[in-house]
Amino acid sequence: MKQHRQTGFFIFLLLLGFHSITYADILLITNNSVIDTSISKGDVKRIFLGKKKHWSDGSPIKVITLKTGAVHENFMETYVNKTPYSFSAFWRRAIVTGTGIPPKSFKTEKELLRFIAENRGAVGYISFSPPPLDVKVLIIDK
Amino acid sequence: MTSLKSAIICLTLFFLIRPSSVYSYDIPEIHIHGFLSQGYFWSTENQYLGDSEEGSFEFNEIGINFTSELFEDLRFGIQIFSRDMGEYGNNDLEVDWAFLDYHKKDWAGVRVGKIKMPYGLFNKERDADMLRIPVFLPQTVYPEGIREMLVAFQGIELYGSCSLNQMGDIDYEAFIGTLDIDDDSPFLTNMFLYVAIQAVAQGVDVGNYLPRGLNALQTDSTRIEGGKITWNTSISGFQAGWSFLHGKSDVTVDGINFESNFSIDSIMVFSLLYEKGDWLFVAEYATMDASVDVPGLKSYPVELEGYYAGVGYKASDIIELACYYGEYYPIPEDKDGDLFKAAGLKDYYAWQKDLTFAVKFNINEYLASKFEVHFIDGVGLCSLDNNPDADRNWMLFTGKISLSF
Repeated sequence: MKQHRQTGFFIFLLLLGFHSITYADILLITNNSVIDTSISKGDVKRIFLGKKKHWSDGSPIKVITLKTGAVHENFMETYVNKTPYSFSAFWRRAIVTGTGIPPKSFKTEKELLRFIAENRGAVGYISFSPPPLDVKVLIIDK
Repeated sequence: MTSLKSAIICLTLFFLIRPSSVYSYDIPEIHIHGFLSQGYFWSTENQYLGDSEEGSFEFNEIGINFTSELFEDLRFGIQIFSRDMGEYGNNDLEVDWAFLDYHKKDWAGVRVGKIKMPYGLFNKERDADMLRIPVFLPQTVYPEGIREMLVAFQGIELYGSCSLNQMGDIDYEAFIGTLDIDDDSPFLTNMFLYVAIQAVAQGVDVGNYLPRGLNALQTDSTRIEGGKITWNTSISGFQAGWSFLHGKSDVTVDGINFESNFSIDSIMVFSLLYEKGDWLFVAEYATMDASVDVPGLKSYPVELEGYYAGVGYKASDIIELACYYGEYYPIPEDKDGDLFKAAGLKDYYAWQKDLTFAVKFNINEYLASKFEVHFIDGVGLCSLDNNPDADRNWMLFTGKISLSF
């Protein structure tokens, strides 16, 4: 069953445009309530910096990150153009100036996945692997 | 102002006590953060920010903030702040910022309350020194003497972010509000010093004004408006910004006994920032074009100019290094100090040139210590009252320990 799911997942990626969502070996995933199916790389950055706060239907975006690790570092440098340190500094600035509340963060992908599955509008990232059925993959346009 | 503070206290208590019976929705999560720092500064010559020649521990910042999302797209926050920086602050407790923030559309949000002023790259976070490598922001663009003009305003601000697709994106802030400037403000004292220097150059008798300085007796609320545009370019990590302020205040001055209007035609800052990996490059240029109108006499220009360029580098998880060089001119058309000499002062009151080296040690995620040295030529940013016989070349050393959570 698991093997079939993995095969189906990779065929799904090929159909969607494999190259456009995997070049950082990372998947952007959302809660199933999110109606968007794809997003530009620039909007990914704007979401994680708190500048884009709504999905295309106007519903609020809830941003989730990992605390540390290679996936976190890879995602930040590839999509947000910041090191994990400067990403953290960006949100500390928002805290002391009152201009934003930092994203909720989790130590493990398992925790992150569970939160995204349970919270409407949530978005986060995991390493490239078949995601659970209770979240969906958001395609990142080049 | 009193009513604003009362409202803020009531709102804070509302958050802290939170009687659950009045809520028909989930109690919102409250985020609490804060910071605390203690520093020391010492100058080889001249008095800077107070009695620096003897060395001073009057150098601290304490802040705590509470933020909560009340409803979808509606947020409230407040920061209580106290600081001591030599002759400024003296650990008076103040509301640093407190506002409601409604952000329904990505391209348009609105904030109402006391809001940090958008000015340059770093003004909003000027009191949170753990966010940067140097202890002092470059004083040539962020002078402590005009902090009151720049730190925060009470009013309304529109803000947002717009994607330009392949061109990057634009962030904007536009505001209108008022400022409260203390009657003994060093900014006003210095401002009238520059007016008097120009008056002397034009043959006007200013009595015993120089070099003692004047005291501003009374300032009415200062109206101010402005904004900031930041272009986050398609070049990864490169941004360009432009800040603009405009305002007006009525001032009654002791010593000359006249009423005057202080008008800020414009304060502008042009900013460039490039962040690449562990490197950060910044450059900013600031000008102030203001005037003091004295009914029956004339209008005296008050113009400032300052700029700097700097680089920061994160050498490791523990060590960060920075260096910047800047210049500041209180009367930009008199960069050689001729007007100051004509008023009986040394020419090097007409500028301040500052080369700074800084190192920051990140002891852990919450604790950092910093050390820096300034090599300074001129005393254009020093109080004339405290430095009637200043030396031209001097050094300033600072150290600081900062905790944040």
